[in-house]
Amino acid sequence: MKKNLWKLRLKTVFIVLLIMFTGSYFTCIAASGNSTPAQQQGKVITGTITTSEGEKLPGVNVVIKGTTIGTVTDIDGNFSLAVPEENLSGELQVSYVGYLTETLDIGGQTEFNVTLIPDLQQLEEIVVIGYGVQKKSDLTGAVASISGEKLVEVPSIGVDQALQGRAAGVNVISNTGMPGGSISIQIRGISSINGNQPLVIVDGVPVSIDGNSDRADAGYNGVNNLFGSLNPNDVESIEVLKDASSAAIYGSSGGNGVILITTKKGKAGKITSNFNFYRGWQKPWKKIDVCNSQEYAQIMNWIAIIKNPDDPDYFSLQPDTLPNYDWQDIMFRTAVMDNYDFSISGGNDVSTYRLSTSYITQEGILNNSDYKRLTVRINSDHKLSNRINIGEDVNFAYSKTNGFDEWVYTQEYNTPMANILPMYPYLAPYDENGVWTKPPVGSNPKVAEDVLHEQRYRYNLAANTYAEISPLKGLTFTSRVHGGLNFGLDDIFKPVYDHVPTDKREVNSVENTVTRHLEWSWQNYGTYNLSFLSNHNITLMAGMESGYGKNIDITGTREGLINETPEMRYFNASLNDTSLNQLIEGGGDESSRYAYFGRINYDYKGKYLLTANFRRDGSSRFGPGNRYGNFPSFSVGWKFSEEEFLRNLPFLSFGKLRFGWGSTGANAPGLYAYYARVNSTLSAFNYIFDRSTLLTGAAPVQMPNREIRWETMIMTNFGIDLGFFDNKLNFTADYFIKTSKDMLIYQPQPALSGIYQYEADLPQLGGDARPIINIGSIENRGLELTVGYKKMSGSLRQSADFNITFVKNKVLDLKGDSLIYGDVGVNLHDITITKEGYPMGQFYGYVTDGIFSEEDAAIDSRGRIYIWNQPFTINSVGDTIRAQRNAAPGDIRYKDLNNDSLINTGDRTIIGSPIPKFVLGFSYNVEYKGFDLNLFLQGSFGNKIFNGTKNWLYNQDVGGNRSPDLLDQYRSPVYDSEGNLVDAGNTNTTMFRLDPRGGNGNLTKPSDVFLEDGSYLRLKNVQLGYTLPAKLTQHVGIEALRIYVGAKNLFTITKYTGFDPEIGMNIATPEQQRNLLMGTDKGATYPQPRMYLTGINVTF
Amino acid sequence: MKNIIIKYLNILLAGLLLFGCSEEFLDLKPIAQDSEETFYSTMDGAEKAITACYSNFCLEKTWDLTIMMTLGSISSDDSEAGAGGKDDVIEFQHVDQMRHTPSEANVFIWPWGYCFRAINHCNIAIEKLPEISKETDPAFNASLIRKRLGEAKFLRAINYFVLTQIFGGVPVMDHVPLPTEYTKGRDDIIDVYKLIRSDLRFAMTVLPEKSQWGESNAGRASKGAATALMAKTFLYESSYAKNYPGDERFAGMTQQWDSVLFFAEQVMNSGEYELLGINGERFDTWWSPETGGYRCIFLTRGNNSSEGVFEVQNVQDGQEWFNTRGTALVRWTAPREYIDNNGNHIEHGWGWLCPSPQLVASYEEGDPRFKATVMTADDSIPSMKDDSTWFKPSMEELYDRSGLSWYGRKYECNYNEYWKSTKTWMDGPLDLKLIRFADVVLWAAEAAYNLNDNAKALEYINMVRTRARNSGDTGVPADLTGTVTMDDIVYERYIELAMEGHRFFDLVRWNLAEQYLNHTLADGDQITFESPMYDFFPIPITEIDLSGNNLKQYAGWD
Repeated sequence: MKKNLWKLRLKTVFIVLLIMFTGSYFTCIAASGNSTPAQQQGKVITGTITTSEGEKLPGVNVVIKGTTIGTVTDIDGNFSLAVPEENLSGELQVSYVGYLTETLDIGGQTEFNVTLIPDLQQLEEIVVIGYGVQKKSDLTGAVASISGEKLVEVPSIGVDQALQGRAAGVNVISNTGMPGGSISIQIRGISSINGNQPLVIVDGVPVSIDGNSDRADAGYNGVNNLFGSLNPNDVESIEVLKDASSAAIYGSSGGNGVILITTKKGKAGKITSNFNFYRGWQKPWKKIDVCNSQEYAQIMNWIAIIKNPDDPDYFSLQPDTLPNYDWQDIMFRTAVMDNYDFSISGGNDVSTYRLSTSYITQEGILNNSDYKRLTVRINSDHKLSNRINIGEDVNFAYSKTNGFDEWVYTQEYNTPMANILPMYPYLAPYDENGVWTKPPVGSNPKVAEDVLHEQRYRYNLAANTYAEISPLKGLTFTSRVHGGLNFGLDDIFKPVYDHVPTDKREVNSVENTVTRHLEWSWQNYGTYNLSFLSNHNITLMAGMESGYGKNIDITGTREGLINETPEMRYFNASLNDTSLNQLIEGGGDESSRYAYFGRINYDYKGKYLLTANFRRDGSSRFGPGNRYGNFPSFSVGWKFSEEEFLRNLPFLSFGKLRFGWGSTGANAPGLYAYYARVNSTLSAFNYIFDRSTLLTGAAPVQMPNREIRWETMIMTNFGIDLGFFDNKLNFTADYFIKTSKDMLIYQPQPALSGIYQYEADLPQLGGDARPIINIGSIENRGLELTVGYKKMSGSLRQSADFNITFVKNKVLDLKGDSLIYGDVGVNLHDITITKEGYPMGQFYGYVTDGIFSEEDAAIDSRGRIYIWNQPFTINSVGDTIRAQRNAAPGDIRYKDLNNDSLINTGDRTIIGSPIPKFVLGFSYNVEYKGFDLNLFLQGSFGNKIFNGTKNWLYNQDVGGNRSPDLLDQYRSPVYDSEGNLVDAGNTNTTMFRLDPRGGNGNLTKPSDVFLEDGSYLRLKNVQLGYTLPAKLTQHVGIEALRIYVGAKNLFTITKYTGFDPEIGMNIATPEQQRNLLMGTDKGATYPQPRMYLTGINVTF
Repeated sequence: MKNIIIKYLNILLAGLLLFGCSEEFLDLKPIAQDSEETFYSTMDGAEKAITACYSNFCLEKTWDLTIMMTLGSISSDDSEAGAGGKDDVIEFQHVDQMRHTPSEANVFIWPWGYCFRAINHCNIAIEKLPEISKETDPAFNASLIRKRLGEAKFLRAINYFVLTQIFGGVPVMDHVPLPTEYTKGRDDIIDVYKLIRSDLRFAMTVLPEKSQWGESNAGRASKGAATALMAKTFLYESSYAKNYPGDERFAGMTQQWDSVLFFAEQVMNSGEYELLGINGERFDTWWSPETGGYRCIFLTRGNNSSEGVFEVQNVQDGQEWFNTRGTALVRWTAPREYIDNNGNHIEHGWGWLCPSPQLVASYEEGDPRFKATVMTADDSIPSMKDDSTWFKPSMEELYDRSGLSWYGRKYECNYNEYWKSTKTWMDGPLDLKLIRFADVVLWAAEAAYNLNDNAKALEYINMVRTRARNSGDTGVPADLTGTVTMDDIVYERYIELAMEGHRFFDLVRWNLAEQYLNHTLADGDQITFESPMYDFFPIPITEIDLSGNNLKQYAGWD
């Protein structure tokens, strides 16, 4: 009988599954709606559920035990349930999180008023830690916990985005505003130049086993990024392990912090379905000020006069008659985003399940860019017996990104963004024949948009099965097997077109890149709880984990397709069999790891707490001598509020002091640094001896480091947790010192070693050839404060959370090197410096001291203007060499910092820091009589931004539109050779001069002129919702119906003049250098949109 | 229930056992990549190793843009930077203005770094190739391996030679260095020459002549190339010894003009080379169906012609961006703007390497070499739009930016060859003539002059002038008569080899740089060349730091 029942249940699950996958959303709703029990024979029971304090409890589960017949209480704690005839003799089960479950005989009663008693055990918030769970009050490490509800407050595509501003010490930045774009996450500062992405664990399993791609940013655009493709609505909670004492259980992967994601699971009881839909309208939240046609003409004419006062080559079009086109309006659009999300969950004493699916379609604010994603998630858990549990979870995500590859949007050369701002304001996008208008210099940005056919498809499948077995009381073994498959296809078609000589294509082509990532992992661990002498509690955990990952990629190109219809965009449709361009490329790599780990938790009387972790990690990235690393940690806690002398303080409800110390690690960048490899696939090694046949060459591409070993992070953490007024007000503070040791740095070697590579050539020459050596050390010291207030009873419920993080970064050791790095456009080089004793990636340049005025000018013997009051030297033939030899009035005066009477690279210094002094997040929720409002503010303060956009919009020497700031530039009066005044000039200004020849280097010297305050405070989200009275909706079988309107990025308070002060990592930069280029706005980045949205959320 | 527990424990145990051999599990060697331990054991590995040695010539920026264009020519009085004005690739501009410093961004790092990289590729081949045998590869071919070793040694020699031209003495490394040797200091130029000459002696013995290689191996180092480079080392040694007596940079050097003449004449008498079009032959090129010999050398038609002793093989392989076997010079030196028949200005090239006013003024009226070297506003060039119409370069923008009114045209392609089929901006299909026959003939003339053999000096100079004359129809330049002077040699090299990257190094070995280079640039800046400081370019500061200051700058730069 039991077996049959089991089969029946499976069948039900299967049918529901089928419905979900085959039907549309609305059939789903209908189907689920039908699952609510219809009127049958029997009777209706009603009742009210209250707390012992008399408060009415909404959302309480009321179920007939052993069935799926049930309901939940409405906002006033009332319920009404139809009981079928055959269940009248059954039991009614009333359950609610945090309260003891009540079971009552139904008998003949029709009215049930139940008072639930708080479950002190359960009221204790449980948080997920590595390979286990722990009561929050017993935590001794620094762990931030974010509930799934918080995550979905801000409509976000990925869980990563949703984390922004939610936890102290966790800094989340969008790299671009493109749909489906990548995210950077830093936990507790920048601890290595080799990327700082935390480890992400979903339901106990790293999102990707391959060492390179187990980081959150791996394979941007979500190639291997399951983290970003996880639907936030599927998340029950997120825990962030911030300090080493908590993250050390993940050993070598925990060095940058660990994000533990727990997905939602089904609960025994009634089937619950939830449908959520919103539509958003996105627009750029800001435009950059550029000249209109008349202003542009004026500037061009001034430049012409300066170039040749006798015969100025005036802007030949008539300014007054010129039309004006706002190219930002032309290229940006109001983009629509739709998000559908549906889930169903339920179960009984034996089995629980949850199924969900979501579909997002998001247009980008730049034309011809968009993103679609479908996710499907299934999990279930089955009690095979009292001692054995098995279950599985499977997540499938499909996404399609249309538009340029993300890195293209972050580099400032020929990209849509870089072409929009300088586009000539008098030019229409198309001429009267519908042909792209030709700008005098550069390309019409419509061309890139119109000929763009790039789709990137990602398919991620992750499946886990697990078994938990408890042979004895207190003893549990867990075994979990994970398999993952990520598949990517980049499908690029390039049509024939002809715009200008530098922007055209005479042969069409189709290019496909296929990437596959395969992985598995297996973990086995046992946990044993033991209490002795009544006051001593010990939990022991020990286990092993192994994993393997492999990446394979292949890229092929064919040219000369039969025609350009979408049907012909395949390799077989190519007529061209001979071109050398049609080489197929591809490669692969693999990695494996193996670990033992263990933990002891001990407490005495629940007051004195101790945790010790140990992990021994082995990785294929290292040579036999350094393959293993040991990562120990310990932490202690004292719940002083449990002490007698504090127990009866009326306001203090909780108090705990924590201290922890631990060592974690970080993997080596690159998989094979240990090996001496010979590369025969780089075309840079090829040569031709007969003018036609390309011969393959081969040479080593990287100098091996036979001594390579783990990067190590040592972290000390001091923390305090306080709860006041029955824990309505909570306060947490943590102070940490995190020091990375043995940081891996590509160590420059003399060219005599034979491995020289010019930085810009790295990709072409097979990546960085320099050996990567464990030499660096970086320290982060920080303070994190979190304050939470919650009042969830009464008709006015409100909660507020505030967090703020201060981090000070300092490079301790680079073996004396300075890493000077970074270009903006073609003009500015080496804009940051990373050196010992200073924070990473400091802006590096000249200090300016205003501009020269006419009083500073004199005429030399050859009749040339020069600046007399500046430092000078005399050379060996007696010439006077002035520090700024080409300077004239209006030019910037640079400070001669090293007093050598020259202005040269020796005068550059640190001029500002891209690292914020503090970042904060603040959220506020209020509910009143069915209305709810939530606000979320996020901000960053005290950082500087290098405004590259400004630099290239000031550049007077190239064609294209400019910044209107140029209208106020200094201009000396200009006379022609006969002495007639042709331009009266503009000398009453502080803005450096208009100078097309740029002799003084005003625009080519990185200086403080281009640094701006990057502080901002942003209303990331505001949402107003209304939940219809349950009385109304329950008639149609709906438990709750909420409609809402909201806005994302509604306002941003900032002094920054570029597109957006939120500057992410520049992913066009090689990974090892991204951290050296923080806060650099290259100006081409896809801006973040503002979005207005409206939505509906139905539970039934 | 117990059974299940036991079963479970068994599985767990099996799992632990399975991974008990984790050492093997974690021992993953690179896939899809070869390792140094095994790669060089086959003939195929040898071929690939040698090909890689050649590939360094094509690293865009180094041999074409930096060594030849900037350090050899823009630095000198035969050309100026031109381009987009004073801030356009500032380190190249600094070299033009003799204002360079050891910390320039790239201009010294590129040749230093990439030549040593090439030398290392050669060292790997020279060390690894002799280890190949019948045992390691049944297809082992001893004579082919000897030839390949000869090529590697020639390539090591030419890289070292160009390093000495640029930097003077450099560290000699005749094997793949150990990490402890990375910080070696400078050796004297003469010690570098010793390695070069021992390499060349080997190469001269084992390498075939150019004709023996045949067209399918046209780009390979030949006996003639090795012999010519041998002559060049003696030319430089003799010049330094003669013109810098007592200078410690040139310690150990002696005048060996007879050796210069001996090796140069070996090349001349090999029958492998001739001055292209010396007998007035005409060639059908895009320039004209009746192109004269001198002009033809610099067209695609002149790639691997009888003039070429050693050429870098550039073809358009369309490998996108940097991985090209082409030269960037075509795009870099093309006029910045054209004017079409409607008077429209059309953006075109980047306008680098412009003939200097001094060069333009130096030509004899009617010398056909003028038209083949200098593009004036009156010249016409193939249209951007079709092949039949010709239009003019616009000098306006160039004049605005750098005060020049001429473009150079020794690296010119027509629209069909380059602009129409271009894949990338550095994909020019013109060979770089690292050693061309006229250069060798003029070394012989210079050696004869120094050996007081006036007849021979006259004969060899006039060979070059004859070819120039027979390339046109003006009867100019006439043969020299009487006594050849040093000025004649300086002049002839200036005109014949203009903008080919020789002038600066010639002036330095003659110790004439101060005399010729202290002039005014077109944009009004005065150049101050001081010997000995500017004779050689400074070692990049980063390399000095990385050497732990074992590398020392020459006087003036320290």
